[in-house]
This record gives sequence, structure tokens and C-alpha cells, in this order.
Amino acid sequence: MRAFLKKDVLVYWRDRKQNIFSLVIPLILIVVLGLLLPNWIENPTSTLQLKAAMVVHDNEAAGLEQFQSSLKSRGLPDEEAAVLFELAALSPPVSLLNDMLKSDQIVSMVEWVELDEEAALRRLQSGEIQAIVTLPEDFTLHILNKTLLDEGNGAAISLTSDDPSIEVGVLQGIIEGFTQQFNASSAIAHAGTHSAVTLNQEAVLPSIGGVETIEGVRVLTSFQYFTLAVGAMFAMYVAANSANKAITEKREHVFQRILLSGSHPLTYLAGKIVATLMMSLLQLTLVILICHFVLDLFPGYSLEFWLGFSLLMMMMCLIVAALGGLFTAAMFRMNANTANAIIQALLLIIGVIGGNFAPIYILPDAVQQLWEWTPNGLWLSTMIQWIQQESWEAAINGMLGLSAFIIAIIALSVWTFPKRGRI
Amino acid sequence: MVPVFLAQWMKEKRSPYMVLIFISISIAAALLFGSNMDIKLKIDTFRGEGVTVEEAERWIDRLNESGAFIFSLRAEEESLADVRQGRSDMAVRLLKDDYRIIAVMESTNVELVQQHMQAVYHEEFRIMAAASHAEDELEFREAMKTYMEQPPLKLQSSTSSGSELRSYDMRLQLLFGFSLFLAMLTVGFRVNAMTAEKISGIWNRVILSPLTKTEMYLGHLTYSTLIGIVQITMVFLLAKYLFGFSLGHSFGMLAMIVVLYTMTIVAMSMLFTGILRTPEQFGAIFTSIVPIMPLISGAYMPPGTITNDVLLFIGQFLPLQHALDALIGVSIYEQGWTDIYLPLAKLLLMAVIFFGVGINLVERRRL
Amino acid sequence: MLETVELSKSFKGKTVVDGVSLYLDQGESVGLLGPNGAGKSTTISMISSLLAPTHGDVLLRGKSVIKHPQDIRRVLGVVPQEIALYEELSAYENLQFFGRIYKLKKTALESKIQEVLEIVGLRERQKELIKTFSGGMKRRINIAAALLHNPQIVIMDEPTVGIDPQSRNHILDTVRYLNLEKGTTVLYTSHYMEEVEQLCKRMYIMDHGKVIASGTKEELGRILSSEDTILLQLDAYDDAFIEEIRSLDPVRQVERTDQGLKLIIAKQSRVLSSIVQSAERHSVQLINMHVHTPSLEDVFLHLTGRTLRD
Repeated sequence: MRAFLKKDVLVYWRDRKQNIFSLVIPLILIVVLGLLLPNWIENPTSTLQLKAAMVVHDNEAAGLEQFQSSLKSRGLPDEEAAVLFELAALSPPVSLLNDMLKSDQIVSMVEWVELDEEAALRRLQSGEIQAIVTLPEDFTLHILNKTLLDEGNGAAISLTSDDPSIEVGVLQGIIEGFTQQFNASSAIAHAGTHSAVTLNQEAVLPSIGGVETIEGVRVLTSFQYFTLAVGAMFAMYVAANSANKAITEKREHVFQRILLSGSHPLTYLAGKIVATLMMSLLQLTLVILICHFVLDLFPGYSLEFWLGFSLLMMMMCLIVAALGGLFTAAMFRMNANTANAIIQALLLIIGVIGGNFAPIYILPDAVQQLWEWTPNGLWLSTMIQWIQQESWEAAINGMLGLSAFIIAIIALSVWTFPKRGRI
Repeated sequence: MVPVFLAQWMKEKRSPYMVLIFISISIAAALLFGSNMDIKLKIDTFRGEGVTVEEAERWIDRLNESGAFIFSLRAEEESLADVRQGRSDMAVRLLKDDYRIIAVMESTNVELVQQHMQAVYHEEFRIMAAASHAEDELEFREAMKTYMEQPPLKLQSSTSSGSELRSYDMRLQLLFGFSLFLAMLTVGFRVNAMTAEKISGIWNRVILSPLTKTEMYLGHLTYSTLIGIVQITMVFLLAKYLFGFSLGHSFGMLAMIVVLYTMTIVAMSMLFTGILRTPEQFGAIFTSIVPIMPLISGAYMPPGTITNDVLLFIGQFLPLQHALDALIGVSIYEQGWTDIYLPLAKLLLMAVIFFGVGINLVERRRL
Repeated sequence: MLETVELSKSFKGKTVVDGVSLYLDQGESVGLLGPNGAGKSTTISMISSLLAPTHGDVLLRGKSVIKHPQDIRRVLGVVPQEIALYEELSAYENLQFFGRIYKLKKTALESKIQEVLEIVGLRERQKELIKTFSGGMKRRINIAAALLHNPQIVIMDEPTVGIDPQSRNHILDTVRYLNLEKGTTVLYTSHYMEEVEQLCKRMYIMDHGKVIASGTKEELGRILSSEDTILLQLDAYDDAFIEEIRSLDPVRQVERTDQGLKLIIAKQSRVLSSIVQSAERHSVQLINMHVHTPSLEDVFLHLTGRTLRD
């Protein structure tokens, strides 16, 4: 077995191109995801950029005047009319909307251009702007009529866009939020007309909400998550590489020669498994160490933490080693292309389910249920808990489960591997 | 050219498993993730001290009226256990007229949930404040409800041609993303079969025949292209007719994009074959680079998510990016030829460059 | 018919084939012998136009084929050292493929496939997949695939490596059939001296990229022609007898072995009777006497300092 191991490790070692690739790719990916995600996580809208036109057919002053004259023509008592007009002039809807849309928060995302309707449509079609917000004629009057007199059907802001992008979606959401708030306010006012409730009573709102952590549980950073997830994924690719090396041996009849030498076929398999273990340990350790020093992944963690961490790393590499054995067995049992397709498909599936490509919580529920039923998912879950809680109980439970996986996979590969005289 | 092509086809017929596996995965993945994207994100809540079930349920109903989340009430232990084990990114503790988000993982959603909950709570506080001044609270709420059915201010969204503004179809993007990604694997393995033939000596045999080298390459590469096109087409057809995806109206344009993309992928695989010496190296390295491409191209995320200049720059060199842009343009934005002209031109340019360099490397290796 | 002139090939400054000149006459069967790494396969690749030579030329009927490889490819059938077949396809399908790339017409191809299958003796198993075949059967189909377009010249690169005796005999028969019955010109590469001795009239011996000897079997044998070896098995040693033998004119060297003497004598000298008489005179019993004429193996050993299978 030592001879086999030496051969496999040497074969690995000689393949410089591949070694460099399998180190560099995960590092790139971690940086990529690291660059990608902090923005995405911390401020989902801050980086969105949108150019939109505002087309206003309404004339606010004229609308107010019209409203005032309609109050007179309605024959309302002067006093009441004066109160209503005061209310209308206090916060005319267009001004409210304008205040909101031109607020610093929105302007940091949306660049507004004032255009007439025709020019706006032209620019929309040429793609210079992504959306047009239009306020129709008599917007002010219709709204005031509805809110203050409960007459008519109110008015509609229209949003025109040919491009249902996320930016337009956000703008739509902002305007929807505004209408919702505006409507709720006027509904309160309307329903409360009979009581003493007035609109400006909303000023005092308690400060609520907040984010808490669970006591004794550290917050997992996205870099920690992705270093582990991506590192483990590429460690699993080491298993696929081992199997690929076996094709060469199959093609060049090295395996037959090994059998002819009187060695037990399983010694060959064992050599592969141990070589995979060593290569994946090397790779995973390097990836995690480099990330640790570059990104300051685990600052000031205790020695005990590192002990458990190393044990868990070992478990992951054992899984990879077992997978390496299984994949090698598959290579010997079927056409190399088919085997490769199956291996790639399998890695892709357990990679996705195991949360190696994207955080598990964004996946559908059905997939989340399967998370800990994949070896890599169980490992990731155990590792996350270890980083958060450093509880040996959870870690040992996880390791027991992982051991079961390792044994099962190795058993499966031994069972699949061709016996003497079958090749 | 024809016999080379037919030989590949016969081989495929003998073991069609690879293509079948990749087709089923692209469909399964698109369905799985596709169906998820419409469903709102689930957030677990549990009752804090002194909160009754009715109170909690009332808040949950209010929270679920709008927004991108579904809140549901669970037991404290279960919710916290899920958070602790990393299965969910947060849980919400409902307090008396207050709440706390419990999170132990940096996540996209905490801030969004926080904003949503704050808005809903504040609105509800105003209503409650107003209602408390009303003589009959029930009547007040009833009046509000009727009023809200005919609100004064509405929002109308439409396209410039007056049709309904559909929201962005993330399901479709994922379907495109997955099928284009998996086609890369199939095509890659097929092109790799050419290297395998070189090693087995079949290639030399063919060279010795009156068949020209161009015909040989054409035979192999048309086959790889065709198998890629067939795979993508099958996924699209199933998606349209079996699962009811709306792929837009211009099938001709979709077909054109798919053909051009597959050709570019074939050229890209040629380039890889040129760089990597053995089919084994190809199998190992190609398959670990390819899964990164959809990530960088933003195939799994809503458009506009990737804003990093470096990533955007790298994305420009990935065929997947341009094909995805064009497919989305045609099927979601109903763009015409003039709109997708640029991504198509880029694909073509890439195909030519990859192919030129790839063939050059492959041929140089031989002597 | 086919000739190479000072053919040389270097890879990255390392000369693999160095000034090889050889020729094949129409209908001739020629062997190319040499230990591994002698440059045989590279030479064959250059002859068959797969590899461009660094120097030198390949002439087909006096016309250079370096610039127009199509000329030689049409008349040439190459049996590569490796099994260049699709494992996933059946024997028939493989032959069909290789026939089609030679643009054979459908009916002609069909009868040709059956003919070559008959030649290699695998007609009954044509529907089976190559991957189910034994090594020997694969090699036979490997040959069949090179015969489909009626090549006038067949080049075989170690067609009998590592196979069972039955398949090996079959392959040797096939070569004989092609050469004798069909008048095909054959260039046969091998490790196995006895195969080449059996099949080929003429041979070239290569080592370190050079042709170090060539000619018919007899001509090559004459390289070691000046000496024969005689092994005598004796019941006892007798110094006087040994002295007498040593004094015989054609005897150049006498050496004591375990069981008797080893004599190196001039070639074709009539010395046997003198030895017998001398033994009788000294009452030494001659138990056995063996005259050893040098084999091609010995020639090879003599020329290269190593055996063929080194």
C-alpha cells in the first residue's frame, strides 16, 4: 500500500499545472464572492443606479386655486372651507411626493431628469432613461377632492418602463410605499373625521426593532462562510481529480499490471483514498490559511477553537478521500465520459444542496431539509456551529454523523470497485 | 466530415447518459430554483414575554399584507435552533408593540426585514393611536378598510406601449442560466473526446485518409455544437410546453442566440483543449472553472446585483454573460435584432478568437 | 517504389531520427528492427506523412511527398502501434467509419468490409463492440481498418505486441497473404527477430536514430561471418588435448567451460574432423558437439551492444 500511495502522491505532485489551478481557483472564487456579497448584504439598494424622468402635467398652484374655488361653489360655510383649504395647502400631495422622491436617500439612487412627455418617451425607448414617473393633469385637484371631500376617485401616478429590472422594481416599491402611507393617513383622517383625530398627530412614534444575537453565539461573517463553503467545494474537486488520474491508469493498463503483481485490488483503492486525503488536506489547509492571513478570518480565537477546527478540517478531507475512492471505483466501472458526467452532476448537486455555492437560507425549503443529509452540508453546518458556539457536544454529534458518511462512502466504493478477475 | 460526425453520434447513442444527466439537471435546477423565486422568503417568528397568541397573530397578519416576506409563528426553541444551526439566517422575537431580529450570520435579508417591519409597525401605531381616540374602534377600522378599497392615490405601472409592466422574471433567468451552464459541460466533454481520439491514435488514422483536416475539425465541432444546441433546445421546449415558462415570441432570435452561444462554447472548449495537455487535465480543470462562470456572470442573482468593476470586466469575457443578456433581452424585454446585435457580435468575436488561438495551440502541440 | 533520403527529425534539439535512408521495392516485404527508442515509430510517422521531417525527403516513385502528402496517403495503409479504434462501436461500425473517410462507395465498402474481416478472421464477430474484444482481436481489427482502401503499401508498427499466439499467427498469416497473394508492399516493424526473419526478405536495423545495418538475412548474417563458435562437451579435461586443439590452424581461441570447451574458429573452416581425430588420440570422450552459426540476434547484439528487447 505504501508503494501505491507514493505513486499516487507523486503523480499528483508532478501535475504542476493542475495543482496551481486547484489552489488559485478557490482563492479567486472566495475573493469574488467576498467582493460580491458585502455590498449585496449590507446595503442592498445603495449600489443600484437608475436614471428616470419626471413628467408633471399637474400644476399645483392652479390645482389649489381650483380646489379653493370649488369649495366656494359648493357653498360650504366659509369657516369650514378655510380649514379645508388650510389643510390642503399645508401638505399638497405633489409636494409630499416631490419631497420624498428628491430626498437624499432616493437621489443617491435615482438620477431625475425633468422632461416633457415626448422627450421622455423618446429617451426611454433609446434606453437613456429606464423609467418615467408621470403625474396626470389635475392630479392635485383630484387628490384633494378625494382626501378632503371624499369626492371622485382620486388620481394615479403612472410609472412607465420597458425594463422590469431590479432598479425599476425598487423605484416602484418606493412609490408604492409612499402611496400606501399616504392612503393610510387619509384613511385614518377619513375614518376619524367624526372624532377628534387630526393628521398631524402622527409625530410621536416609539423607536422599535433592533437586531440581537443569541447569547454565547458569535456572528458568522460572510467571509468565514464563503471561505469554508468554497474551500470545501474545491476540496471535493480534488476527489474528482483523483478519479481522473485513474483514467490514465486505466487507459495505460497500469491497473492490470498492478493486479498482475499479485497485489489485492483494494490496496490500489486504499492508495488512492490516502493520496486524495493528503492532497485535499494540503489544498484545504492552504486555502484556509491564506484566507485567514489575508482576510483576518478568525481574529483572536482560542487554541481550543483551533483544535476543534483542525479536527473538523480533517473530517472534511476524510470525506473527500472517501469520495475520491468512490469516484475512482466509478471510473473503473463505466465509460470515462459517463462517469465524469455523473461525478460532475453529483458534485454540483451536493454542492448546491450543501450550501457551497450560495448560502443555504436562500434556497427553497425542500432543499434546506436535505442540507444535513449531504456530507458537505453536514460538515458546513457543524463547522458553522463550532465557529459560533464552540460547543464540543454539537461538534462531536456532527463528527459522528460525518464518520457515518465516511464509512458509508468507503463501503460503497469497495463494493463498487471491480474485484479481481472482473477487469 | 459526415462520417466523423456519424461516428460521434453512434458513440453517443451507445451511451447517451451524459447528455441525459445534464439535461435532467438543468430542468430540475431551473424548476427548483425557479419555483422558489416567486415564493416569498419565510421568516420565523416567536412570542416574546407577555405576548399572547392573538396579538402575535394579528401582527403576523399585518406583516404579511405586503412585502417580500412570509412571517409565520413557531415555537421559540425551534426557531432559535434553526438560526443556531445556520439553517435560517434570522428569526424574529415579537414583543409587546416591539420586536427583535435574532441573527447570528451576516445576511442579505436582515436589513430588508428590519425596514419592512418598521414600516408596518409604524403605520399600525398611527392607526392604533387614531383608533384609540375614536368612539367605536371597530367602526373606525371598518371605515378605514372601506376607504382603503377606493384610496385617493394609486400607482399605475405600464410599458411605453401601454401593456402591463411585468415584474422581472427571475425564474426565466435561472432557467437560461442553468441550461447555458450545463451545456458548457456537455460541449466541453464532447470537444474533449477529440483529444481522447488523438491519444488513441484514431486521429492519426483519419489524417492519413483523404479527409482534410478542416473536414475532421468540422465533423467533430459540428457534432459538439449540435449536441449543445439539442440539449439547450430540449430544456427550453420542456420549459415552455410542460412547465409553462413564457419565453417570448421570437423563437427565431432565441434559436440564433443559442446557436451562436453554443458555437462560442465549442470554441472556448477548443481553447481549453489547446492549453491543457491530456483529456484528464481537461476533465479536472475545465470542470472546476466552468461552475464559476455563471457566478461571475450573475446568472444566479437578480440583474444589477454585481457592481464590482473587476467582476463586470471579467464577465465581459464570458460567453455566458452575453448569451444570457441576449436571451433575457429577447424573452423578457421583447427586444429586437438591433438591441441584441451587440451581445451577438461579442459572442461571434469571442468564438473567432477562442477558436483561432485554440486550434493554433492544438496544432502546434502536434509537431 | 518508396524511398527515404537522409530522413532526420529533431524534437527540441534532440535528434531522434538521424539520416535514415531506406527503400522499398514493389511487392517487397521489408522489416524494420530496433530496440525501443531507436526511432522506428518516428521514421514511420515521417514516411506516412504524419510528421514533417527536419531534414531529408520521402519519395514515392521518385516524387517527393513531403509537399503533397495526399499522393502517398492514397496508396498507404498504416497499422498504428496503438489500438486506434472506437471502443464503444462494433467492429463493423469501426470499419464502416474508416471506409467512409476513405470515401468508399456504399456497396463497394460493404463487400470490402466483409473481405477484410475475412482476412483477419473475425467475420463472425463483427457485430460485437470493440471493448469486448481480446487484445489480439483488437489488433486484428486494427489491421483490418488499414486495408479497406486497397493500399499498395502497408506499414505495420509492431502489430503483434502483447497478444496471444493464435492471434499472432493470424496476423503473420495476414501479412504473408497480403504480401504473397496480393502483391502488397509491406514495411514491418517489430521487436521479434523471428517474425521478421519469417516474413521479410530484407531488413533494416535501427539504433539511436540511425540505420546501422541493412540487407537480406544472409547478408546480415555475414556481418559476423568471420567466426563460428563450437561448443564441445567432454567427459574429462586433458591438457595435451587442449594444447593440440589450440595449435590447429583455424582455431583462434579456446576457453574452458563447465562441461568442456568453447572454441572460436574461422568461418566455414573444415576443422571438425581434426577435432574428432585429436579427441580419439587423447582418449577424450566427445559427448556432444555443437556448431553455433550467429543468429540475427547475435548480429544485433554485436551491432548495438544490447538485445532487441532491452
